[in-house]
Amino acid sequence: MRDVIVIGAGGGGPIVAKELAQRGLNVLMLEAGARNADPEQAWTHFENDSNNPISGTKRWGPSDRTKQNWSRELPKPASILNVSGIGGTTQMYFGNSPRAMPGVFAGYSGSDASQYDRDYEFPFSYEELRPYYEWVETTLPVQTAAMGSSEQTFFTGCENIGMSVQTTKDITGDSFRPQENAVLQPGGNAGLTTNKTALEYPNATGCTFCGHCQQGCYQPRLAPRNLKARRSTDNSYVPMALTADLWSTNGQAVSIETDAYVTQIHTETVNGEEVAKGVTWRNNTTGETFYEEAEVVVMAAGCVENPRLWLNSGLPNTNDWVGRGLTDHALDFVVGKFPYHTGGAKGVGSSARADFPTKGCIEPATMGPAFMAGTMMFSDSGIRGQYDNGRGEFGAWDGPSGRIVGKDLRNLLEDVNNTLTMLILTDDDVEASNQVSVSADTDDEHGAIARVDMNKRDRTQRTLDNREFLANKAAEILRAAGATEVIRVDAVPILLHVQSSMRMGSDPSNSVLDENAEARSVKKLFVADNSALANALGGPNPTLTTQALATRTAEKIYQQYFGGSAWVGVETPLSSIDDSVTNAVITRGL
Amino acid sequence: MDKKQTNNHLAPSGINGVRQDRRNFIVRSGIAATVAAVAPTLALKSQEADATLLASTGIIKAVLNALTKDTFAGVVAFMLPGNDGHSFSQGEYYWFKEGGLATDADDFMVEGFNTYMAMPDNLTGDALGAIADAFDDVVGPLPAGVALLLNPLEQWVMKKLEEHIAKLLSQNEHIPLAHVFSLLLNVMASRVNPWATGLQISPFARLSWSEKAEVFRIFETELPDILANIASKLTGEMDEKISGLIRFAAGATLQFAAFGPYSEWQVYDPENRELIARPYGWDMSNYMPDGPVEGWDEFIGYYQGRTSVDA
Repeated sequence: MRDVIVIGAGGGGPIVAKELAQRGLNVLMLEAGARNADPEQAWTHFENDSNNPISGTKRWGPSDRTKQNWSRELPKPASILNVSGIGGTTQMYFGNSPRAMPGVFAGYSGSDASQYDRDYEFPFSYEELRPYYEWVETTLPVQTAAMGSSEQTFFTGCENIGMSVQTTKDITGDSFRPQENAVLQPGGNAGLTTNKTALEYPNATGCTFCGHCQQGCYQPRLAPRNLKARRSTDNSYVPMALTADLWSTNGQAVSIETDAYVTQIHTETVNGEEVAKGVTWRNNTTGETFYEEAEVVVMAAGCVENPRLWLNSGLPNTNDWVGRGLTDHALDFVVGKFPYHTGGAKGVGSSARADFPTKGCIEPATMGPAFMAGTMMFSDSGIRGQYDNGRGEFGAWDGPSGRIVGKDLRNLLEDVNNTLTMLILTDDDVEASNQVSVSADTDDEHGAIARVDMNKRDRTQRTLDNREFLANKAAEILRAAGATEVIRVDAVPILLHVQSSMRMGSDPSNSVLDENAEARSVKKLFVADNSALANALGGPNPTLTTQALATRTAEKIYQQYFGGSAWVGVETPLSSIDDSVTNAVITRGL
Repeated sequence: MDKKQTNNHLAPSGINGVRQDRRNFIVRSGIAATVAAVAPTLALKSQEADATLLASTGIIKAVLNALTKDTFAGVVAFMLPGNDGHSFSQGEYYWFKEGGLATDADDFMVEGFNTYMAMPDNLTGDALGAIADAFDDVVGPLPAGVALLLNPLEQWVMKKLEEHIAKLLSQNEHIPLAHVFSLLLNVMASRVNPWATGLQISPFARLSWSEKAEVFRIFETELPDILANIASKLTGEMDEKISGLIRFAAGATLQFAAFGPYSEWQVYDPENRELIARPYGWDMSNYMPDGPVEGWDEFIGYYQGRTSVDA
């Protein structure tokens, strides 16, 4: 019997695993996808090899790439960008680690408090979470982003429309800034050359500006795994978890099973309460099933899979909120074409941002041409100039929103490094009708598949207004930076930033989790990924807040069920790039 | 699932025991033209036995493969025109620039569709027949006289196919998604312009660039009606699966057509994890002008010289 079983090794699960392993608990982490033990050998930076949703290394599917990926039921046009395997979707994230808008927490008293969605705020204050932010920011670590051409282009645009610069981690008002991101700053030759040998560790350290965040980070080559530039959990928390016995006085290394798809959470009744008891998982390669018990079970399989697993396990759903309240930042894209080099396919995926409290955020993004062209097809406004599906929005961009196809696409992408894509991250409201459930008709080998209903056109007026505000602002920034052509995609739901499908809250009638992230209806069952978030954070990228919350959840588990004491605010966090971790990683041969 | 009754898709009706909607489907989908193109020798033979052979699995596979490839070639040219035949056919082309088809992206799409999602094991020609019926309801009858546009060889094929239409649409053979969706694209193409002619065998590929856009408009705006029609002709479980696949295909077609040509798919050696040539998509986008790199000389500094910030 384990102390703790963690389901999922994505952005949240490894945080709980590492923190509790550091305390000496016996932790088993189960991951449905691949081990990703040696990316330098197993991955490439090619777009089809990496990002093909069918067979790429960054897909939602089993480790055997010759097997089909796992499907979800999407009744309306939408796309889900989830990645299985150790690291989860952080394998392709940009490392952006902004803190949430303070206004989405309980007790917020700023002058704009009424402009937030107060019905679904976090059940505790921003100040309560602050030390957990600081703990994670040191552990990952989070640093101020270096600047390349794409960031310089963005900053020029922001300066030219008169925006303020933010110089704190806390978001204080409408402003722009370099990202605080989980990407190691460049050192040595990094960022200064294209010479392959010169970019090998230790001649180069940190980010080499390769432009391949979406293909997975293994730069610089030859660096120990915990010193790779982008701090996806496969490069940061997982190496720490696997070596906790070597760098922590009382630590115990986490056990990891990959290709292990959890299909059932088991419970028992204790003193009239339903209590988590263990899990069953299926090995995707052999088809064998396994059962193991634990004192505590932590769900961290993602916003889509957690509700699926809950419902397929037959766990209680008394207030009908399991899977409801899904938020997605109502993502959108605005693309600019420039008469000069923007580094549109170079550098970190995104190293700059602009924040607009009560409305959301904008960030420039760099990407390869295939990913960029493919993503631009996910429009809700038809094909520009041909049909608009009843939308075809007009604004500060050129012409109607929509897909850009044919000669227009060729012209836009004739030099991908003269383009810049802006991501729109909307402060979108929690709505019960946006939900993850299970398919009534379609099963796979793990049970009924997940069904995702995201009613993009029927969002609250506040969400829709915020999205329009941000799209216009993004177009203004691009123009002010010198763009000669600005295109708005008006995307269908693209579930990349997903939050709050198993939300925590203070109101038992509209939340699945209590203020400690423990399930209200099943004791000793916790949730520790984006699905536990109470809301969409006001627009900031969710990973850091999820990781801070997961740290807090680990502490609650340790205090509540293992008789331990809190450590955040008491101890000094150890960075995942500390020499002691590096030595442990090398010793263990990771 | 207690949702709907299964129709007897093979119940004969219409002239000579051949359902009119099946006849329409054969014309609209381009199957007739493709048989003439792929298996002209067979088609020219008039014996009953040869007509049966025409409907045999091997020939049908060849027909569908050719038709599907031609259809997706039409999609790729729509997305990224160049100086290829499909681009010239649609009236949107470049004289001196190759387009997406130079990357074999039509093959990329076929591979993608056939491996992306599992087709139900029991999706056979029989079920495809039901889909054909459903689409016929949505599309409506062919304008009188369209069949006259078929060349003599195609008309001959039509006659043979009509005699054995039931066999063609009831082959006990697994049908890949690429075939299903290409047939649907072609049926819709025949609605947009039933009079389209040209060198291509696929009705979709014969359309002008704007007409192709109209096909995608129909798929986006009328998909619920199409799916409802399909739902009325299939059992619950099959309906859900087929509907899901068509919904996916309608959404993914343009994504695949845009992603594939700009990627390295055509020239990637997966065994050695390296390129065997420079991808043409990289030339189209000036991506990696000197080949793959491990990093760029892009580091300018830190904005306003700040390397860290406080809380």
